[in-house]
Amino acid sequence: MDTLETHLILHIVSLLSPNDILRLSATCKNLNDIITSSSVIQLKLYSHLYSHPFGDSPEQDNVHQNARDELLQLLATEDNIKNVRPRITNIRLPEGKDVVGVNGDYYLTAHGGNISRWDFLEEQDLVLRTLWWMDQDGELRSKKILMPVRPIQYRVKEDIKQQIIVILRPGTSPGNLIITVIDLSHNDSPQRNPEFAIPFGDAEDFSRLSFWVVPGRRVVLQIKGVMKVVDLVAQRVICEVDFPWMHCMNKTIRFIDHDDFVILVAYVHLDTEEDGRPHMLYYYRLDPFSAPTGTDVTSQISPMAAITLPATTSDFYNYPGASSDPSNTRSRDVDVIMSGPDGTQCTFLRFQVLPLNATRSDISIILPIDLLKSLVAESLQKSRKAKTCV
Amino acid sequence: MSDKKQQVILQTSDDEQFTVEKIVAERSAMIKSMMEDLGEQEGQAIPLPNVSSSVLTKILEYCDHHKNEPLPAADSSDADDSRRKTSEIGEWDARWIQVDQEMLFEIILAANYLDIKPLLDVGCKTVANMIKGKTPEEIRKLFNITNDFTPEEEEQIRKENEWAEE
Repeated sequence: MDTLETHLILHIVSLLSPNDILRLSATCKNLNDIITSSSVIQLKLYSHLYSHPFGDSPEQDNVHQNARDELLQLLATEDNIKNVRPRITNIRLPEGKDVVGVNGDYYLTAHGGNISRWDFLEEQDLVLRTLWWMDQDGELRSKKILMPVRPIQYRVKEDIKQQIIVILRPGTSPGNLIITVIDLSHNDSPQRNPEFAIPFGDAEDFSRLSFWVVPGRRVVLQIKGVMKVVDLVAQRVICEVDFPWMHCMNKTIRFIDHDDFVILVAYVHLDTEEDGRPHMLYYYRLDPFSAPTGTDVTSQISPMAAITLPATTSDFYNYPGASSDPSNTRSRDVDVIMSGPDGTQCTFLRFQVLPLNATRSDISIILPIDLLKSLVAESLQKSRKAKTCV
Repeated sequence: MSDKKQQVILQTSDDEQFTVEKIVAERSAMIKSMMEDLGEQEGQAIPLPNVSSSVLTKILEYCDHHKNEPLPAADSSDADDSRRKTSEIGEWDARWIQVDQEMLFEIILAANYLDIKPLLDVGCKTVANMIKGKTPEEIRKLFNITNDFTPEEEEQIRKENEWAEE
């Protein structure tokens, strides 16, 4: 059988029933690889496992009925979960199958030990993976999920920034996950023009990482399971990290090049009845090579500073304590610990990694600066009003 | 058109030449397009470096039997589907393909190379039928596959599949 080329083996496999395929995949590594890396076959297996949403011939036995009910129930509870910060404390994927990867359309998160939602992109090259997690009783559970293996391609709309959500498992090592965002505006071949590559550091807590991509660009997001660390060449990409005080107390940001620095913007609202409207805006410039690891951001950020972004990033960089000593190691992880002042709740924190020679136009904090100003002015006005009332 | 033009010479990997009726050789989309390329050049042998004489003899038997059937439309996925859905192999084909495993795989490879879609299907269906209902161990024995999983990996796969087969 090993004389046959892959496509011929797949031809044979396509004639088999799902159970026969699974048994064949258990014979040897080669056949296993061929079967698990074929999206068509995996789709067939998946349709067999869950007769929804791909299955065109749902099998109505109890197991499948239950799986579908479960899925529908999960989708139904999504609204309740939406407003709750996902807190996934123990997700473990089998070795070599490390990604729980998703974007705006294909989205998977978990809460309280249960998978809370999954949606699927159509026409993706999908592969069946096993997702492992620890439930509330500490029991290891697993679930088959479909994940895209090919680059996810979509066009970023002109007017809104596209959000890409990625969920990391705890303890994801930098070697396990790299997200590459590639500019395709000038070139249709994603390989030829890689613009961004963002390696993740070890994630202490399991959280979402979302990327905001500059409008007007077509991008490819590649999520791979096994990879080596590549240089950080992140320009004009803003990463947003959900940073609720309670759940996500620290975050590691990995810097590769000593010329990189990061702008952190924290939106904090003091009045929880204000529906998440930022009342206080903070920004913080982080020099990865002078800041001690375990930087307590809130102790250093100053209110309302975000409204005075400097004209050039060089200026921005030249804050006291900044270091651009080239003898610094070229790779460093910085743990940013967010510990909010009493009574505060951080809605989210955004950071942008910029090279030292970046210009003002490279700073692209998600909200336009005017909006930041007006938000701050508004909140100041409100607090003044409140004071006069008293 | 003279009778001569209805013949075509095929040359196998072991340098044997077969003179074949054009209508038989045309079962192979690959030979058909080659004949079109060669045009009027009489007596020119079409080289088939990937096919041995023993396999070609066997395949020509198949082509001869099916020579009067309509050729499958090129790249027609509909035809593909309908062919696949009728998972049974024709009576004559089933008897014809009763060969040893080595020959079976060589037929599949040659059918792929020569681009004879119905034959490729027959070959693949035959292999699929051999696999059906067998355990991994039985499949390994059947095709002489070495189990190169570590015990841990095997256990892992067993667990995953158990879940799926519940």
